[in-house]
Amino acid sequence: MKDKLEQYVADNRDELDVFEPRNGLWDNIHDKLHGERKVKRIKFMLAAASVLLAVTLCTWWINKPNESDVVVKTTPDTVQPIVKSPEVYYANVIATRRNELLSYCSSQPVLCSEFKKDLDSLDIKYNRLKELYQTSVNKDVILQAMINNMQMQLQVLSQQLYIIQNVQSNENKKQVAI
Amino acid sequence: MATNHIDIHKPLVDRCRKGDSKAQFALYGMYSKPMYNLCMRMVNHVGEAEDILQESFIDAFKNIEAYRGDATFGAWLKRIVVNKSLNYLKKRKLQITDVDNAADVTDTKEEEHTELDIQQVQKAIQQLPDGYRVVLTLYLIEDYSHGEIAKMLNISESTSKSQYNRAKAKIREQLSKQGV
Repeated sequence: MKDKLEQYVADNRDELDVFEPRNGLWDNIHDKLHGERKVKRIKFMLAAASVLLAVTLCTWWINKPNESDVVVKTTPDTVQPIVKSPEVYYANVIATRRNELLSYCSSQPVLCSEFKKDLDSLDIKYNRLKELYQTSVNKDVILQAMINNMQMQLQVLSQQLYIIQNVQSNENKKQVAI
Repeated sequence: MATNHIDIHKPLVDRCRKGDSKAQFALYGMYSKPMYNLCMRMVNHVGEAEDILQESFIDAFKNIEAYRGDATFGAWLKRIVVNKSLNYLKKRKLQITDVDNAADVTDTKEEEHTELDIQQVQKAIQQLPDGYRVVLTLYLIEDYSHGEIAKMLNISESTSKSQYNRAKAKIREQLSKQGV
């Protein structure tokens, strides 16, 4: 038979739990259980992205048109009107794709920031070409390089979107399975 | 804890078996507070209690395959927490000495206090020496039998009983000092 103290403790059992576990303990547990796996997966995706970028760069390098092609195709008088429209066209497509990529940034921050770095370096090169274009006498060569740069940006963006969409859909599938 | 509903968390446990972190978090949400308070009563030290809590959940989720469902998940987890706490106490060289005459402490002052206060009781438990506090926690609060406690602590059943009675006597002493 329970004495008074025992009965009292039994009746008020829940009130004995006066301590609250500190916030942040779960994060440590979660990291120990899942952290390593996630880091490994991101590392793998980054490595895959780097390889793709390298392949793209090589392909572009091998296939890039040489100067004589440009000279044959364009005469100095017609360069500006012809090139202006492709430039605008590419700039628009690039902006759209970039926005599409940015929409994944909240769910894939690490991949997204790596991808942005790649794009930004291409963008810096483009702006340098643009400056050169103002002062250069060989404008058609520079313009061709600018167009090549934009084509390159598009190719890289397409690959990046492909990767990030795949990662995202894999994660979504996982969540649906849950 | 749901001692009569063995399968109450089965869907969550099944998801944990697949490594589902949301299910793990759900179980953590349900059990972290009682388990943390158990740790605190066992080792009486915030840093150690946090370590034990984290280690216990990590072990439980990593070894969830070992949980066969023959007890509640809570009871299974509690056993992990108790074992880890005892390991910490061993490092501290907790020794519970055998006393043969379990009846040497009697509950003579039992009905002295008319009003009990749960906070005072909680404080009095927390102030008990390690050995008393551990036995009292396991028997009075966590519902283990003296036989089970004897096995866990590697002491005789009568020692468990005598420790428990001494612990209760100490608590009553504390409470009367505090004027309850």
